[in-house]
Parts: sequence; C-alpha cells; structure tokens
Amino acid sequence: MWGFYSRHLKWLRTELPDWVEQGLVTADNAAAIEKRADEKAQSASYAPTAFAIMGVLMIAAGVIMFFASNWQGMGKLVRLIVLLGGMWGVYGLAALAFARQDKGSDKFGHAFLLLGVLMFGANIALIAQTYHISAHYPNGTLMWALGALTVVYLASSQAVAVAGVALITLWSGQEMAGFYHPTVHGPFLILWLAFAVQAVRQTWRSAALALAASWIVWQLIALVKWSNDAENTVVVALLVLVSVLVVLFGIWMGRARWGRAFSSLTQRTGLLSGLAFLFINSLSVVHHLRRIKFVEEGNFDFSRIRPEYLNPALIVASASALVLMLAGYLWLKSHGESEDEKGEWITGVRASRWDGAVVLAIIVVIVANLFIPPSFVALKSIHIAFVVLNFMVIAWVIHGGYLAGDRFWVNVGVGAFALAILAVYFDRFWGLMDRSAFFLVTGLILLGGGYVLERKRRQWLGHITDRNQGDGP
Amino acid sequence: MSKRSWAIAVIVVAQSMLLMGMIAKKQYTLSMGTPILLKTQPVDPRSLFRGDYVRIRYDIDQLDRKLPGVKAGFQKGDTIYVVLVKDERYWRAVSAHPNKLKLPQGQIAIRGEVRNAQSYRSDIWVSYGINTYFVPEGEGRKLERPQEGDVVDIEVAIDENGDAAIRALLLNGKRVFAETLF
Repeated sequence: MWGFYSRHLKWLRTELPDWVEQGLVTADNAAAIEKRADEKAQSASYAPTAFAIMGVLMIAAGVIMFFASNWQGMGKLVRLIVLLGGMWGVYGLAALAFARQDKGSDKFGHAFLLLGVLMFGANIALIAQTYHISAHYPNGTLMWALGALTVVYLASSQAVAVAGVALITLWSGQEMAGFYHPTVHGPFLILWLAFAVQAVRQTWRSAALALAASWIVWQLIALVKWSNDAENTVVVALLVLVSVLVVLFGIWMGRARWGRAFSSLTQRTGLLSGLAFLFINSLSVVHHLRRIKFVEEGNFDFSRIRPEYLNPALIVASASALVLMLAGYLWLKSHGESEDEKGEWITGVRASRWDGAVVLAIIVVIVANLFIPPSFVALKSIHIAFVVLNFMVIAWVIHGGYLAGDRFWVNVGVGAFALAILAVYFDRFWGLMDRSAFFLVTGLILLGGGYVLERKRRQWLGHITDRNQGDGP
Repeated sequence: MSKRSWAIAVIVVAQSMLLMGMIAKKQYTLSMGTPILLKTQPVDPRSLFRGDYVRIRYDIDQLDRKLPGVKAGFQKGDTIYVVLVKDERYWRAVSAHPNKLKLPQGQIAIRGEVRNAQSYRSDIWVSYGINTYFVPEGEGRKLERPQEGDVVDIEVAIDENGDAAIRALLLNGKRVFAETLF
C-alpha cells in the first residue's frame, strides 16, 4: 500500500505542472492535491512503524536477557526496583516521543507504549514468581489485558489494542479450557466490547481485524468447551444464528454513521463464521454422535442419552437468537432510508431478493433440530435438512455477492460450495465404494469440478468488474 | 505537560498500583493470617522440582467424597471453603462448604478452587494457590531428592477471607526457607 501511494505521489509530481499549464487545475489546487497525496503516502508508511516496534522489542529482549541471567542473585527489593523502574522508564520514553509532536516520533511513542504493556505483563509474571503467587493463573492474563485496555483508552494506541484483543482471547481460552464449566465464558464479551467500542471510535482497521479474528476463535473454543455429544448440533446451530445476527448488525452499522467504516468487515466476519458452522452441522459425524447418545442407549453416561436432555440455557439462547434474527430481519427490511436500502443485503447495494426464503429455512431447520424426537429417521432427516440448508445459504451468498458486486462474498461462497460438495461426497461414498474407486472418482471430481467452478467464478467476477466499470464516471 | 503525557502518567500509576496490589494482598495474608502447619504428601523426587520451583502436594488437596459437605455436588471451577482443625502437629480437613461460614474457636477455613470433580472418582481435587514455591537456583537441591525418612512440611498463613500464603518451608522440622517482604 505504501509503495502504491509513493508511486502515485511521484506520478502526480510529474503531472501536476502540466495540468496547471493546461489550465486544468489552478496552482493552489495543484499544491493542495500534492499535499494531500503526500499526507496519504506518509500515513500509509507501515515500514517505519514496523521497524520502530521491532527495534524497541529487540532492545527490550536484550535488557530482559541481561537481567534474567542475573535474576537469582538479586534481592527482592532490587528485583522490584528493576521491574517497576524498567516499566516506568519505557512509559517515560513514550511520553517523550509523543511530546516531540511529529509523525516519526509518534510511531516511536506507540512502539514504547506497546513495550510498556509487554513489560507490565512480564512484571505480573515475575512478581508472582518472586512472591509465590500461583492462584488461578488466568487472572494474571486478565490483569495484563486490563492494563492494555487502560492504555487503549487513555493513550489511544492501536498496536496495544491488537495485543489486548489477543490477551482477552488467551484469557478466555485459559478459563474455558482449564476452569470454567457452565456454558460459555461470558465475561470475555464485556472486554471484547470494550476494545470494539474504542476500535470503532478511532476507526482502527488492524484492531478491527484482530477483533474479528478473536470473535471467530472464541466461538470455536466455546463450541469445543460447551457442547457435549448430545448437544453438538444444537450448539452449532446457535452459533449459526449468532453469525446471522452479526451479519444483520453489520448491515445496520452500514446505515448508521458511526459504524459505516466497519460495516463490511462485520458482515464478512458473520458470513465466514456462519458458513463455517453451517458446514460443521452438515457433516454426518456431528449428527451421528447425537444418534449414539439418543438411540444406542447404555453407552456410558445414562443421564445424557435421554431426548429431553438439553441444557435449558441452550433452548433459551436459541429461542432468543431466533426471535432477534427475525425481528432484525423484518426491521431492516422495513426501515431502510431509501427503497434500495429496504432491499439491501450486502453493503450498499440491492442484492438478492430471496433472502426471506433463506431466513425462513434457517428458522424451520433450527426449530426442528431443537425439538427433534430421538428416532433414527428423525436424526437422519435433520442431517439432510442441514445439508440442504447449507447449499441454499451458499447459493444465496454467491447470488447476493454477484448482484451486489462484492467479490469477497462470491469467492467465499464458491469456496464453501466446493467444501460442501466434498463433504457430501465423503459422507455418502466413503463406506459404500471400493477404496480405489473412491479415490479415483474423488480425483476426477476435484479436477473436473474444480475447473468448472473456477471458470464460473472468474466469469462472475468478470461480470462484476464490467458492471463496476460501467457504473463509474 | 500535554494531555497525552498526563494520560501516560495515569497509566503508569494504575499499572503500578495493580502490581503493588498483588504484593500487598500476599503480605496482608502473611502478616494477618493464622499460621498453620500442613502435611505434604510424598512426592516422586524426580518430579518434585520443575525448573526452579518446588511443586507441593498437600493432604488437604484431595478430599474424600465421604467428608461432610463434599457430596454437595462441587464441580470443576467451583470455589470451596475447607474447614481445618489441628491434630497433634498438622491441620486436617473436616468438612467442605460452598460459602464462607462462621467457625468456632480452633477451626479455620481455607479457600480453594475445585480442580477435578469427575463423578466416577471417590474424591475431589482442590487447589489453594499454594502448590508452588520458587526457590533460589541450586539451593533447592536438598529438597529435590529428600533422603528416606526426610519430612517436608509447609507453614501456611490463612487470613480471615480464607486466602492462603506459604510462610515457610521446613525440612525435618527445621526452616529452610522463610518468606519476607524484601
């Protein structure tokens, strides 16, 4: 990106004198255009920031290694002075860098802030070691994340926000993996929101990407932690609903001035996680585990094989998500500012008109999955229903992306379609065909199907490009 | 001073207070808590040390389901208050409770977290945050491979909230490490 802007600036500098001479722009306009392009090139220069951060981290690593090798010989008081003094010194350097008030120093200021937060984390661990504090170790990570959050709000540092988001994800992972037993780890959401609010306020792109990644990772951890075999499909279906809600929220963000910058990212996050969870629920193994629990009684935990066994929290959460999804869909449909907005489903463009059918199908399949009787036929049917729903949603995503001119949606949809076809093939024919025939046919499907799919994808993207160029000035 | 410098000053104060708070909480338990002696379970000498810290296992880490209160249905991650009474030398668990309660003279409650409560087990495992003790490099060798008949005891302080902290490590009744502020 930096290269693009500097090349653009170079080109402008050769062109602008001619433009002024030909009377296309005034000299003042030319100066303003050059100034703007120069600022853009400066702000897009990630390299100095990256070098500043790397340089500061290298120095820090050297200092830490020096003290680590002499650590055992130090008394507690000396250790404390070194730990706190080091942290104060780094924050002092950050303040000095910011005080210079130029862009280059600002980058060093942010690098020192990040280093300060890293030292704060190291200090938590080293003080815990020095004073033999070992109770509930995720609290150390939480404390570290809170320290990062303070920096994010008080000193507006995006680099620290990215680190902080990674820390809250780690903290929640530690809680869920080692300690937390009932349902999901809700407190994570509070801290995630706290970081998200600041990222939106400051329009921080990298922090927003970190938040999106953290959200998807956290859902996957929650899925592994929460579900047991009997509840797998219900938990996954709930996560599909949550993903749809994220997409709807993203559309709403696009209509609100405050959220416009991240509307597309939010929708894409929901789209990716939604398709991933739908894919999981279209696999026979997930339903097979439930069948074992329901039907083939007497395995090991008798209390869990009864059909009425479902965590009540799951039913309440699923019902709430369904109601919210329906309400959100209807509200967005009827409250657009313009006729285009009322029909819009993907950022800014009127897209697929059969979204109502998709929403209805999601509701029907998920409600059926919640209250399914424990019979072989019913469990087989619900698996097939999820496979059909998966293909329906994928078709809608490709169609909607195509109509909206959004390449991301089309690419993701095509990728999901290829995966879904393979999953169905493996599910159906793995046990039915001779192994050599199975792999031969798989190879042919991959070669032929891949070619056709790629051709189709290029065709769609080509149409999108043509249309966008046709719409241009 | 610019607005940002003030903000950084606030950050420094807040983070330093959090760090000092960790020490203060520990020191509070050590200085205000009741000292008790806990019996450690024999540990395989090869696994007693990991790096430079001693891993300690106590008798009270493992609570039999027959112990009053344990049957109440504790699950992994639950907070548990274990009531201790003094035998001749060591303190032992007599009951367990999900909440803090008023105790008669001669009893004390230690707060822990249930680490393992699988239904097929006849006991539950509890951690009190006193299972590790960092020792100076090399100095812990005498604890690493205790001779046959050597007894390693831990002196613990428990404050009124049930929080515990290691005060000292004893080898055959003799203090080999004692906790100090600095």
